[in-house]
Amino acid sequence: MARFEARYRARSAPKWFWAFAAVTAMTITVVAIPHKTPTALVVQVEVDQVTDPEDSEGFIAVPYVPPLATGEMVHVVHTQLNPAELASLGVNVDPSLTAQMPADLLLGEDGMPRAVRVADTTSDSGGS
Amino acid sequence: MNKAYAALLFVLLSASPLLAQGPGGPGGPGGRMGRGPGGGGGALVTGAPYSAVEVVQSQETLADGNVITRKHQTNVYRDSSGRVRTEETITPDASTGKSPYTIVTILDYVAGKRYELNSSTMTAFESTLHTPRTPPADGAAPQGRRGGGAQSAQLRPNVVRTQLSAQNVNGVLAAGTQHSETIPAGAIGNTRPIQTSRTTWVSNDLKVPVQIKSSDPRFGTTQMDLTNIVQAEPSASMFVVPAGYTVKTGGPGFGGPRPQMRGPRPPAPPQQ
Repeated sequence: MARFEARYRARSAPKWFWAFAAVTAMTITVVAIPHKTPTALVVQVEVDQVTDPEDSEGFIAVPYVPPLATGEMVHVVHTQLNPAELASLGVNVDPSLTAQMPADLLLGEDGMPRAVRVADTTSDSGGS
Repeated sequence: MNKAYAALLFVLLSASPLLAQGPGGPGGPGGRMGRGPGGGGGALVTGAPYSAVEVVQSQETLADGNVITRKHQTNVYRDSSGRVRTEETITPDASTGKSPYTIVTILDYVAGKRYELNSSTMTAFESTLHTPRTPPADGAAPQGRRGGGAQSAQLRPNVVRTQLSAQNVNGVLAAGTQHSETIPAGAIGNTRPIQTSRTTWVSNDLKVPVQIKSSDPRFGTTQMDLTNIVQAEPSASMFVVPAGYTVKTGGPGFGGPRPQMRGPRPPAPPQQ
Protein backbone atom coordinates (compact mmCIF):
# COMPACT_ATOMS: atom_id res chain seq x y z
CA MET A 1 0.00 0.00 0.00
CA ALA A 2 2.81 2.37 0.89
CA ARG A 3 4.46 1.61 -2.42
CA PHE A 4 1.16 2.24 -4.22
CA GLU A 5 0.71 5.60 -2.52
CA ALA A 6 4.28 6.59 -3.19
CA ARG A 7 3.86 5.79 -6.84
CA TYR A 8 0.49 7.47 -7.45
CA ARG A 9 0.69 10.38 -5.03
CA ALA A 10 -0.51 13.56 -6.68
CA ARG A 11 2.43 15.67 -7.54
CA SER A 12 1.95 19.45 -7.47
CA ALA A 13 3.10 21.38 -10.48
CA PRO A 14 6.30 23.34 -10.15
CA LYS A 15 6.08 27.04 -9.41
CA TRP A 16 7.35 28.02 -12.83
CA PHE A 17 4.34 26.23 -14.38
CA TRP A 18 1.82 28.33 -12.46
CA ALA A 19 3.70 31.53 -13.24
CA PHE A 20 3.69 30.69 -16.93
CA ALA A 21 -0.04 29.90 -16.84
CA ALA A 22 -0.83 33.18 -15.14
CA VAL A 23 1.14 35.19 -17.69
CA THR A 24 -0.55 33.34 -20.56
CA ALA A 25 -4.02 33.98 -19.17
CA MET A 26 -3.30 37.68 -18.72
CA THR A 27 -1.93 37.94 -22.24
CA ILE A 28 -5.05 36.35 -23.73
CA THR A 29 -7.27 38.65 -21.70
CA VAL A 30 -5.46 41.80 -22.77
CA VAL A 31 -4.94 40.92 -26.43
CA ALA A 32 -8.00 38.94 -27.44
CA ILE A 33 -11.00 40.31 -25.59
CA PRO A 34 -10.76 44.02 -26.49
CA HIS A 35 -10.29 43.05 -30.14
CA LYS A 36 -13.30 40.77 -30.49
CA THR A 37 -16.03 42.05 -28.26
CA PRO A 38 -16.94 45.43 -29.80
CA THR A 39 -17.36 43.98 -33.27
CA ALA A 40 -19.65 41.24 -32.05
CA LEU A 41 -21.86 43.69 -30.20
CA VAL A 42 -22.32 45.92 -33.18
CA VAL A 43 -23.21 43.02 -35.42
CA GLN A 44 -25.85 41.69 -33.04
CA VAL A 45 -27.59 45.02 -32.92
CA GLU A 46 -27.59 45.18 -36.69
CA VAL A 47 -29.09 41.72 -37.01
CA ASP A 48 -32.06 42.74 -34.94
CA GLN A 49 -32.59 45.82 -37.02
CA VAL A 50 -32.17 44.25 -40.40
CA THR A 51 -35.38 42.30 -40.45
CA ASP A 52 -38.15 40.78 -38.43
CA PRO A 53 -36.73 38.50 -35.73
CA GLU A 54 -39.13 35.83 -36.87
CA ASP A 55 -37.41 35.74 -40.21
CA SER A 56 -33.93 36.71 -39.19
CA GLU A 57 -33.14 33.46 -37.46
CA GLY A 58 -29.70 32.42 -38.46
CA PHE A 59 -28.85 35.62 -40.26
CA ILE A 60 -25.78 37.52 -39.28
CA ALA A 61 -25.39 41.12 -40.31
CA VAL A 62 -22.78 42.36 -42.70
CA PRO A 63 -20.53 44.56 -40.57
CA TYR A 64 -20.48 48.31 -41.04
CA VAL A 65 -23.60 48.79 -43.12
CA PRO A 66 -25.87 51.81 -42.71
CA PRO A 67 -29.38 51.43 -41.28
CA LEU A 68 -32.37 50.76 -43.49
CA ALA A 69 -34.46 53.70 -44.58
CA THR A 70 -38.03 54.27 -43.47
CA GLY A 71 -40.33 51.94 -45.39
CA GLU A 72 -37.45 50.14 -47.05
CA MET A 73 -38.19 46.59 -48.12
CA VAL A 74 -35.71 43.77 -47.92
CA HIS A 75 -35.56 40.61 -49.94
CA VAL A 76 -33.83 37.31 -49.66
CA VAL A 77 -31.81 35.78 -52.46
CA HIS A 78 -30.93 32.13 -52.29
CA THR A 79 -27.53 31.64 -53.85
CA GLN A 80 -24.18 29.88 -53.74
CA LEU A 81 -21.20 31.63 -52.18
CA ASN A 82 -17.59 30.60 -51.98
CA PRO A 83 -15.57 31.10 -48.80
CA ALA A 84 -13.95 34.27 -50.10
CA GLU A 85 -17.34 35.78 -50.80
CA LEU A 86 -18.58 34.76 -47.37
CA ALA A 87 -15.51 36.36 -45.87
CA SER A 88 -16.25 39.64 -47.61
CA LEU A 89 -19.64 39.55 -45.89
CA GLY A 90 -18.06 39.14 -42.48
CA VAL A 91 -18.37 35.38 -42.18
CA ASN A 92 -15.18 33.65 -41.14
CA VAL A 93 -14.72 30.28 -42.75
CA ASP A 94 -11.93 27.79 -43.07
CA PRO A 95 -9.58 29.37 -45.63
CA SER A 96 -8.73 25.94 -46.99
CA LEU A 97 -12.27 25.50 -48.25
CA THR A 98 -12.92 26.08 -51.92
CA ALA A 99 -16.39 24.65 -52.43
CA GLN A 100 -19.35 26.93 -52.86
CA MET A 101 -21.96 26.83 -50.15
CA PRO A 102 -25.68 27.52 -50.36
CA ALA A 103 -26.51 30.73 -48.58
CA ASP A 104 -29.31 33.23 -48.18
CA LEU A 105 -28.45 36.85 -48.77
CA LEU A 106 -30.69 39.51 -47.31
CA LEU A 107 -30.55 42.59 -49.51
CA GLY A 108 -31.83 46.08 -49.02
CA GLU A 109 -33.90 47.82 -51.65
CA ASP A 110 -30.71 49.20 -53.15
CA GLY A 111 -29.42 45.67 -53.64
CA MET A 112 -26.68 46.01 -51.05
CA PRO A 113 -26.16 42.95 -48.84
CA ARG A 114 -27.44 43.38 -45.30
CA ALA A 115 -27.14 39.97 -43.75
CA VAL A 116 -26.23 36.45 -44.70
CA ARG A 117 -26.91 32.99 -43.44
CA VAL A 118 -25.24 29.83 -44.57
CA ALA A 119 -27.87 27.28 -45.45
CA ASP A 120 -27.83 23.68 -44.39
CA THR A 121 -28.99 21.63 -47.32
CA THR A 122 -29.32 18.58 -45.15
CA SER A 123 -31.96 20.14 -42.91
CA ASP A 124 -34.64 19.92 -45.59
CA SER A 125 -34.08 16.24 -46.13
CA GLY A 126 -34.03 15.53 -42.48
CA GLY A 127 -30.45 14.36 -42.42
CA SER A 128 -27.84 16.04 -40.36
CA MET B 1 -23.88 16.17 -42.11
CA ASN B 2 -22.91 17.68 -45.41
CA LYS B 3 -19.18 17.25 -45.98
CA ALA B 4 -18.79 20.76 -47.25
CA TYR B 5 -20.16 22.05 -44.00
CA ALA B 6 -18.27 19.63 -41.87
CA ALA B 7 -15.14 21.50 -42.82
CA LEU B 8 -16.69 24.85 -42.13
CA LEU B 9 -14.87 25.85 -38.99
CA PHE B 10 -17.07 28.40 -37.40
CA VAL B 11 -18.89 31.61 -38.03
CA LEU B 12 -17.61 34.41 -35.88
CA LEU B 13 -18.90 37.91 -35.77
CA SER B 14 -15.51 39.37 -36.04
CA ALA B 15 -13.57 41.32 -38.58
CA SER B 16 -13.64 39.99 -42.11
CA PRO B 17 -10.89 40.16 -44.67
CA LEU B 18 -11.35 42.85 -47.26
CA LEU B 19 -11.85 41.41 -50.68
CA ALA B 20 -11.95 43.30 -53.90
CA GLN B 21 -14.95 41.40 -55.15
CA GLY B 22 -18.22 41.08 -53.35
CA PRO B 23 -20.68 38.22 -53.32
CA GLY B 24 -21.83 38.43 -56.87
CA GLY B 25 -22.01 42.16 -56.55
CA PRO B 26 -24.81 44.41 -55.51
CA GLY B 27 -28.11 43.46 -56.90
CA GLY B 28 -27.32 39.94 -55.98
CA PRO B 29 -26.93 36.78 -57.92
CA GLY B 30 -29.88 34.84 -59.18
CA GLY B 31 -31.85 32.37 -57.18
CA ARG B 32 -35.04 32.03 -55.27
CA MET B 33 -36.27 35.30 -54.00
CA GLY B 34 -38.44 36.42 -51.17
CA ARG B 35 -39.44 39.96 -50.40
CA GLY B 36 -40.69 41.37 -47.15
CA PRO B 37 -40.81 44.38 -44.94
CA GLY B 38 -37.49 45.57 -43.59
CA GLY B 39 -37.05 45.73 -39.86
CA GLY B 40 -35.77 49.25 -39.94
CA GLY B 41 -38.62 50.78 -41.81
CA GLY B 42 -41.07 48.04 -42.65
CA ALA B 43 -43.93 49.91 -41.11
CA LEU B 44 -47.53 49.57 -42.19
CA VAL B 45 -48.63 52.59 -44.20
CA THR B 46 -52.34 53.00 -44.90
CA GLY B 47 -54.23 55.60 -46.87
CA ALA B 48 -51.40 56.25 -49.30
CA PRO B 49 -51.88 54.00 -52.33
CA TYR B 50 -49.48 54.09 -55.22
CA SER B 51 -47.94 52.14 -58.03
CA ALA B 52 -44.42 52.59 -59.32
CA VAL B 53 -41.47 50.99 -61.01
CA GLU B 54 -38.42 50.40 -58.88
CA VAL B 55 -35.20 50.49 -60.86
CA VAL B 56 -31.94 49.38 -59.28
CA GLN B 57 -28.69 49.97 -61.14
CA SER B 58 -25.43 48.71 -59.80
CA GLN B 59 -21.83 48.97 -60.76
CA GLU B 60 -19.01 46.88 -59.45
CA THR B 61 -15.33 47.28 -60.28
CA LEU B 62 -13.30 44.10 -60.09
CA ALA B 63 -9.70 43.87 -58.95
CA ASP B 64 -8.45 43.81 -62.54
CA GLY B 65 -10.33 46.99 -63.40
CA ASN B 66 -13.17 45.20 -65.14
CA VAL B 67 -16.57 46.69 -64.46
CA ILE B 68 -19.86 44.85 -64.07
CA THR B 69 -23.06 46.83 -64.39
CA ARG B 70 -26.54 45.53 -63.73
CA LYS B 71 -30.03 46.87 -63.96
CA HIS B 72 -33.03 45.34 -62.23
CA GLN B 73 -36.61 46.41 -62.39
CA THR B 74 -39.55 45.68 -60.10
CA ASN B 75 -43.15 46.79 -60.33
CA VAL B 76 -44.52 47.85 -56.96
CA TYR B 77 -48.13 48.42 -55.92
CA ARG B 78 -49.68 49.38 -52.59
CA ASP B 79 -53.36 49.86 -51.81
CA SER B 80 -55.06 52.05 -49.21
CA SER B 81 -55.09 49.30 -46.61
CA GLY B 82 -51.34 48.89 -46.87
CA ARG B 83 -51.24 45.69 -48.88
CA VAL B 84 -48.18 45.49 -51.13
CA ARG B 85 -47.57 43.65 -54.38
CA THR B 86 -44.25 43.40 -56.17
CA GLU B 87 -43.57 41.85 -59.57
CA GLU B 88 -40.11 40.80 -60.67
CA THR B 89 -39.13 39.10 -63.87
CA ILE B 90 -36.41 36.55 -63.32
CA THR B 91 -34.19 35.78 -66.27
CA PRO B 92 -32.24 32.59 -65.61
CA ASP B 93 -28.71 32.28 -66.88
CA ALA B 94 -28.61 31.37 -70.56
CA SER B 95 -26.74 28.18 -69.77
CA THR B 96 -29.75 26.85 -67.87
CA GLY B 97 -31.96 26.95 -70.93
CA LYS B 98 -34.85 28.12 -68.79
CA SER B 99 -37.26 30.80 -69.88
CA PRO B 100 -37.79 34.03 -67.97
CA TYR B 101 -40.55 33.87 -65.40
CA THR B 102 -42.26 36.25 -63.02
CA ILE B 103 -42.20 36.20 -59.25
CA VAL B 104 -45.07 38.08 -57.66
CA THR B 105 -45.03 38.76 -53.94
CA ILE B 106 -48.18 39.85 -52.13
CA LEU B 107 -47.90 41.17 -48.59
CA ASP B 108 -51.46 41.11 -47.31
CA TYR B 109 -51.33 42.77 -43.92
CA VAL B 110 -55.13 42.69 -43.71
CA ALA B 111 -55.25 38.90 -43.79
CA GLY B 112 -51.83 38.46 -42.20
CA LYS B 113 -50.62 36.42 -45.15
CA ARG B 114 -47.73 36.58 -47.52
CA TYR B 115 -47.94 34.97 -50.92
CA GLU B 116 -45.24 34.28 -53.44
CA LEU B 117 -46.54 33.44 -56.88
CA ASN B 118 -44.31 31.61 -59.33
CA SER B 119 -45.61 31.91 -62.86
CA SER B 120 -43.43 29.09 -64.13
CA THR B 121 -44.95 26.54 -61.77
CA MET B 122 -48.31 28.27 -61.19
CA THR B 123 -47.69 27.82 -57.49
CA ALA B 124 -48.53 30.25 -54.70
CA PHE B 125 -46.55 29.79 -51.50
CA GLU B 126 -48.47 31.06 -48.49
CA SER B 127 -46.89 32.05 -45.19
CA THR B 128 -47.78 34.08 -42.13
CA LEU B 129 -47.08 37.78 -42.27
CA HIS B 130 -46.55 39.83 -39.16
CA THR B 131 -48.15 43.23 -39.27
CA PRO B 132 -45.54 45.93 -38.86
CA ARG B 133 -46.06 48.92 -36.66
CA THR B 134 -47.55 52.14 -37.89
CA PRO B 135 -44.82 54.70 -38.55
CA PRO B 136 -44.59 57.80 -36.40
CA ALA B 137 -46.16 60.97 -37.73
CA ASP B 138 -42.85 62.57 -38.59
CA GLY B 139 -42.01 59.76 -40.93
CA ALA B 140 -38.95 58.72 -39.02
CA ALA B 141 -38.12 55.07 -38.67
CA PRO B 142 -39.72 53.48 -35.63
CA GLN B 143 -37.38 53.36 -32.70
CA GLY B 144 -36.64 50.44 -30.47
CA ARG B 145 -34.98 47.13 -30.97
CA ARG B 146 -35.65 47.24 -34.68
CA GLY B 147 -35.43 50.97 -34.84
CA GLY B 148 -33.89 51.62 -38.20
CA GLY B 149 -30.30 51.41 -37.19
CA ALA B 150 -30.14 54.49 -35.01
CA GLN B 151 -28.78 52.51 -32.10
CA SER B 152 -26.13 50.82 -34.15
CA ALA B 153 -25.01 54.11 -35.62
CA GLN B 154 -24.59 55.47 -32.11
CA LEU B 155 -22.47 52.50 -31.20
CA ARG B 156 -20.13 53.04 -34.08
CA PRO B 157 -17.60 55.82 -34.24
CA ASN B 158 -16.82 57.54 -37.53
CA VAL B 159 -20.49 57.75 -38.52
CA VAL B 160 -21.77 61.05 -39.84
CA ARG B 161 -25.53 61.31 -40.31
CA THR B 162 -26.81 64.42 -42.06
CA GLN B 163 -30.43 65.45 -42.62
CA LEU B 164 -30.92 66.99 -46.05
CA SER B 165 -33.54 69.61 -46.76
CA ALA B 166 -36.68 68.32 -48.46
CA GLN B 167 -36.80 68.41 -52.21
CA ASN B 168 -38.63 66.92 -55.14
CA VAL B 169 -37.20 63.53 -56.04
CA ASN B 170 -38.69 61.41 -58.82
CA GLY B 171 -41.79 63.55 -58.80
CA VAL B 172 -42.59 63.55 -55.09
CA LEU B 173 -41.51 65.62 -52.12
CA ALA B 174 -38.95 63.70 -50.12
CA ALA B 175 -36.78 64.08 -47.05
CA GLY B 176 -33.15 63.13 -47.38
CA THR B 177 -30.64 61.56 -45.07
CA GLN B 178 -26.98 61.08 -45.77
CA HIS B 179 -25.08 58.42 -43.87
CA SER B 180 -21.32 58.41 -44.17
CA GLU B 181 -18.98 56.13 -42.36
CA THR B 182 -15.29 55.45 -42.31
CA ILE B 183 -14.41 51.90 -41.46
CA PRO B 184 -11.10 52.21 -39.63
CA ALA B 185 -8.06 50.37 -40.89
CA GLY B 186 -7.89 46.91 -39.41
CA ALA B 187 -11.55 46.81 -38.41
CA ILE B 188 -12.44 44.10 -40.90
CA GLY B 189 -8.97 43.09 -41.95
CA ASN B 190 -8.56 46.15 -44.17
CA THR B 191 -5.14 47.71 -44.43
CA ARG B 192 -6.55 51.17 -45.16
CA PRO B 193 -9.73 52.96 -44.04
CA ILE B 194 -12.84 52.32 -46.12
CA GLN B 195 -15.25 55.13 -46.87
CA THR B 196 -18.91 54.21 -47.34
CA SER B 197 -21.89 56.43 -47.98
CA ARG B 198 -25.63 56.09 -48.43
CA THR B 199 -28.09 58.81 -49.30
CA THR B 200 -31.77 58.05 -48.96
CA TRP B 201 -34.75 60.12 -50.02
CA VAL B 202 -38.02 59.06 -48.42
CA SER B 203 -41.33 60.34 -49.72
CA ASN B 204 -43.17 62.45 -47.16
CA ASP B 205 -46.54 61.15 -48.36
CA LEU B 206 -45.81 57.55 -49.30
CA LYS B 207 -43.35 56.83 -46.47
CA VAL B 208 -41.17 54.75 -48.76
CA PRO B 209 -37.74 55.48 -50.21
CA VAL B 210 -37.91 56.99 -53.68
CA GLN B 211 -34.17 57.12 -54.17
CA ILE B 212 -31.23 55.40 -52.50
CA LYS B 213 -27.64 55.96 -53.58
CA SER B 214 -25.14 53.64 -51.96
CA SER B 215 -21.39 53.41 -52.26
CA ASP B 216 -19.37 50.77 -50.51
CA PRO B 217 -16.01 49.69 -51.97
CA ARG B 218 -16.66 46.20 -50.65
CA PHE B 219 -19.71 45.75 -52.85
CA GLY B 220 -19.76 48.53 -55.42
CA THR B 221 -22.14 51.37 -56.04
CA THR B 222 -25.89 51.20 -56.50
CA GLN B 223 -28.74 53.54 -57.16
CA MET B 224 -32.37 52.73 -56.59
CA ASP B 225 -35.03 54.96 -58.08
CA LEU B 226 -38.75 54.65 -57.62
CA THR B 227 -39.99 55.88 -60.98
CA ASN B 228 -43.34 56.31 -62.71
CA ILE B 229 -45.01 56.95 -59.36
CA VAL B 230 -48.79 57.09 -59.65
CA GLN B 231 -50.64 57.96 -56.47
CA ALA B 232 -53.88 56.12 -57.16
CA GLU B 233 -55.65 53.01 -55.88
CA PRO B 234 -54.49 49.83 -57.68
CA SER B 235 -57.03 47.18 -58.59
CA ALA B 236 -58.07 45.04 -55.62
CA SER B 237 -57.56 41.92 -57.73
CA MET B 238 -53.81 42.50 -57.61
CA PHE B 239 -53.70 41.58 -53.93
CA VAL B 240 -55.31 38.16 -54.12
CA VAL B 241 -54.02 34.89 -55.49
CA PRO B 242 -55.31 34.58 -59.05
CA ALA B 243 -57.32 31.61 -60.24
CA GLY B 244 -55.31 28.70 -61.56
CA TYR B 245 -52.60 28.82 -58.90
CA THR B 246 -52.04 25.99 -56.46
CA VAL B 247 -51.64 27.37 -52.94
CA LYS B 248 -49.00 25.68 -50.79
CA THR B 249 -47.93 26.50 -47.28
CA GLY B 250 -44.39 27.75 -46.75
CA GLY B 251 -42.03 27.86 -49.65
CA PRO B 252 -39.07 29.96 -50.64
CA GLY B 253 -38.07 33.29 -49.24
CA PHE B 254 -39.65 34.72 -46.12
CA GLY B 255 -41.70 32.29 -44.16
CA GLY B 256 -40.20 29.31 -45.91
CA PRO B 257 -38.17 26.52 -44.36
CA ARG B 258 -35.28 28.02 -42.45
CA PRO B 259 -31.81 26.79 -43.19
CA GLN B 260 -29.66 26.19 -40.19
CA MET B 261 -26.96 28.65 -39.37
CA ARG B 262 -23.53 27.29 -38.77
CA GLY B 263 -21.48 28.51 -35.92
CA PRO B 264 -22.21 30.17 -32.62
CA ARG B 265 -24.76 32.89 -32.17
CA PRO B 266 -23.26 36.23 -31.20
CA PRO B 267 -23.43 37.33 -27.59
CA ALA B 268 -26.38 39.45 -26.55
CA PRO B 269 -25.81 43.19 -26.70
CA PRO B 270 -25.62 45.11 -23.43
CA GLN B 271 -28.85 46.58 -22.16
CA GLN B 272 -28.96 50.34 -22.37
